[in-house]
Amino acid sequence: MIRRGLSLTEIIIALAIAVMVMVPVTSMFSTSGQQVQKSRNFSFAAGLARRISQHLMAMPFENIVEVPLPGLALHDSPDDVFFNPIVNFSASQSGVKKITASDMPALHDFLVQNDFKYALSVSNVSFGAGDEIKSISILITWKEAGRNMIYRTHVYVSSV
Amino acid sequence: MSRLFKHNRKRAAFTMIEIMVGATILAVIGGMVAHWFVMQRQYQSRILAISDAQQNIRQASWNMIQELRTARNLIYPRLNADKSIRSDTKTIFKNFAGDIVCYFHDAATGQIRRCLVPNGPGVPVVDKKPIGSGIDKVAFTAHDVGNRLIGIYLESSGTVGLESVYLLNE
Repeated sequence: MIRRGLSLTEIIIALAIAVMVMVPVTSMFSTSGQQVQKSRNFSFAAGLARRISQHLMAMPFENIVEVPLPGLALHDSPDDVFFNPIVNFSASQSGVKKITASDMPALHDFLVQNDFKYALSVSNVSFGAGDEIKSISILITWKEAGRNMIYRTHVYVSSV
Repeated sequence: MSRLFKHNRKRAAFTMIEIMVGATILAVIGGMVAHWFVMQRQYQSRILAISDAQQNIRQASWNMIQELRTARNLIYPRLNADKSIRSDTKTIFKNFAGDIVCYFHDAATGQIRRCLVPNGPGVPVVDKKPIGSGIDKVAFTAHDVGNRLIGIYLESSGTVGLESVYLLNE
């Protein structure tokens, strides 16, 4: 009896072609996803740096001090001056909310997941008594898919 | 006549077992492909949601920061009597042109709207276009005694934006 069908070699070749097509398609999906997450983290980091820069403007000049690398972890610094307390919808101190697992669980999880930290590098420039400038580098660092990421910006704050 | 009833008994065909095995293999492979496809669609939906949320936050932040940065002074919210920070879903300030402006969050539509508050009798006039859309939570927070620093917390589909604005024209 002559039976016509597919040989094992033909099936293997067909499967190999199918896999060769599927793998790039899969990686295309995951690559676009990684790009979106990368973009989100980068935007978030830029927002954090802007927030720090704006708070520096309102801080007493002498309180602007160095925060050395590796920096302060946002999820683990409840007494940090730039981010805590973060909101308070009540009319007294009792209602303040900080970036902690109990007060802001979603935000805290996000910060833990990406290990967002900030560091400040402060240089003093003096033009005479009472006339100084602080040159401040704001560094935001985070982890993304096992890689260390960094966002840096620079501000100047005057004593006058 | 005998030729009419003559059948070829050696016709090649699939047996029931072969068809069942083939159908089972096809079902398994089809199920795996369908599952993979559904997973990818869900993943894409999540990614799209993140991308949209990020865009919503970026746009709302940008629109508000541009006007707040050059604002003259912050009218509401202000620090509590015990000097603790104070947050609200709306903020009122005097802008660069001297108009009293209010940003408020409409939770029902997820929009941030801008309105002009009359400096005297009258009703607030709400802008036709929202300054932010797709925003789930908003908190405008007064941070300093001088009423020059306002924190903006935005949340859209689980994505968070933390901004602050220091008013330059106090």
